[in-house]
Amino acid sequence: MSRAILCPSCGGSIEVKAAGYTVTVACRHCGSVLDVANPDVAVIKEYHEKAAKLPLPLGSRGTLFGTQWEAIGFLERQAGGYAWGEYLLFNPYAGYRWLVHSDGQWQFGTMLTDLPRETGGWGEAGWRGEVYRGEDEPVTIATTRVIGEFYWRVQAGEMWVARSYERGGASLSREWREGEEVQWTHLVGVPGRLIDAFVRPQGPDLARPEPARPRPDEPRMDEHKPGFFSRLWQDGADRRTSLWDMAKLLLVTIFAAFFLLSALTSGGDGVRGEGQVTIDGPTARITVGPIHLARAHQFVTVKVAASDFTNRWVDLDYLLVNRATQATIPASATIEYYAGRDSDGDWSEGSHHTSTRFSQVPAGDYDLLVEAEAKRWNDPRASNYTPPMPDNPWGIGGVANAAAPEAEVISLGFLVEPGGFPLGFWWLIVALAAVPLVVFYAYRASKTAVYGEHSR
Amino acid sequence: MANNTCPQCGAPVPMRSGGMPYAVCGYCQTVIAREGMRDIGKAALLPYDISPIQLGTGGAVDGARFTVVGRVRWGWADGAWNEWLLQLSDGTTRWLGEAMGQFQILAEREDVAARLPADIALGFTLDVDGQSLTATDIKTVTCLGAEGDLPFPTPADWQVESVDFRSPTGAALSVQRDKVGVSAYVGRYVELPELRPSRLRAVEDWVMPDNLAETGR
Repeated sequence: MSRAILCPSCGGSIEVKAAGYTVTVACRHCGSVLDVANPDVAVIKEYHEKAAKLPLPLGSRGTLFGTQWEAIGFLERQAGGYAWGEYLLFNPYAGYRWLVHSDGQWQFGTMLTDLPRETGGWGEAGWRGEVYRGEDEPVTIATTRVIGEFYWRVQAGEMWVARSYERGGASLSREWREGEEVQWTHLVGVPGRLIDAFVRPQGPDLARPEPARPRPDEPRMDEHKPGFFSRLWQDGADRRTSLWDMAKLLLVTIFAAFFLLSALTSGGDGVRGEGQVTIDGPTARITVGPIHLARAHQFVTVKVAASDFTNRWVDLDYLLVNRATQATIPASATIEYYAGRDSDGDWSEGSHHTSTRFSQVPAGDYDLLVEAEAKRWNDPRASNYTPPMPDNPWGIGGVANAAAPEAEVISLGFLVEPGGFPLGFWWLIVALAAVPLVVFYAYRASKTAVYGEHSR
Repeated sequence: MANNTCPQCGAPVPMRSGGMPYAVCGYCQTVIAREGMRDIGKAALLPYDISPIQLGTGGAVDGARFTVVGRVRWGWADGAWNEWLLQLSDGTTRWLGEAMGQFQILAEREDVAARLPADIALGFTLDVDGQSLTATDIKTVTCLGAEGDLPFPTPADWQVESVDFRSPTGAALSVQRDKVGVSAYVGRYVELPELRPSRLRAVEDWVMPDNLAETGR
């Protein structure tokens, strides 16, 4: 038995696994942070976002060091522009542990109750008769994202100072902040295959996010209302007045802004890469590089084109890694395309390409590490919908395997370009340049009203 | 033969420990004074928690066997914890503190309580058994419920001031103070398998680890 609550923010059902210990729950449906220390669940901070798809989904269970653990909480933390994940593991007989996921490596963390002793001006720490050496200066760690349940009142934005001591493959991490007790954690590496062996939770709302398909009653993207500029164009064309001159000016402004920004932001040639990802298959890892960035700071644009597919989505996690410093910048993107037929007729949504921009990237040689996962989306209303079948649940070879369809693969082409101008800036320049013209037009219009003049 | 039924609802109130003056009815949460089986109030209904300990859990500590005979649950704004009363075979008692998945064995120390000043501020230090302990946390806590046999009554609205002391070596001192008096408990962290527990609670959906399921027999 576990305690079940309803999220007061989104109404979603949440199972509290460590009932009695858990103080804070970050709703896995909407991300709102809830206080469950008391019988009345209260919203601490409201969010309306989809829970991130994690490399180890919450609810996953697996065995490490002879004990079965369930991942019940996740923290995204950052220090100095570098981000990593920390999973809170729970077993009612063994308490809590941490599983740190950083740079594709996993570490198992145990909170210490017998505290190490720091000696030699923080250069060393002694624990259980062994000496650990201080590696770096203390760093400030910010918690940037929380999902799941925690035994303390966690919140995004929490800051801790941390210092790490190493000995062989193990480390001691000392974290502290004003007004709180010092926390010591002992960390040892765990082979990734042990984490791969964790049993992921079943059920669509746990394992994957809702695809971003619009409901049929929502307006479609391609039926957008005319924007400010097209309306201006329309006005000009209707009146056939001196506004035509204004439109010409506007056109010149737009091109000038375009060239200005292109000149400011372009630099160097693009680097290409490619890879493939299997639908509902393992995570594909693709590396694109080296990418040489010459300017002190610049934009880097990643363009991805995928082979044709329908009712699939591809999640892309990017890590731009500086070869010299190993500093990383994370980003993510999704390519999705859905189509079908409902009471309104045929519909389609999405595209087969995407573009992502990193800003303020310092000079250096970089690699782009890509983790791609592709998923199948079944339209429950479509007539050809077939419920997903478990893959050969009894492990019987032969017949079941022979009937299995061939794995479907999506090919991905990558183009990483230094530069790439932000469209938002371009429109801003255009809009600013247009202000005097609009003012002039408004002035003219008011004169027209007073004197009854017509330019026609 | 002693009357061991609840004065309020008539349910049996088994005597788990011979020496405890109070008990909480497991059916109606009536707090009962054993002497005369008098109804002296109501305890709060214990909220569900996932603790592996239960009344009747056995084990070994400080060279003696123990049985869990009672529990008090405490809560404050940022959480809650359990204190399980252990009746030892040598006639003494200990408390098994259970917070955030970690366990502490605590022994009541009247000599330490007698040395405490009337006011304790954060940073106050006290030497106990050669260890320097510092007050690191002071908060007001509320009794969230109780069960079994207990050395004190546990009314639903009972509030105490709780002060936690820590040493760099992990030794702990817990001081609880209310209108009636002050108690001091000196503790150390333990791992559950060290206690060689038996009759742990079977938590649904979880397999009891081998090192806990096979010991203590």
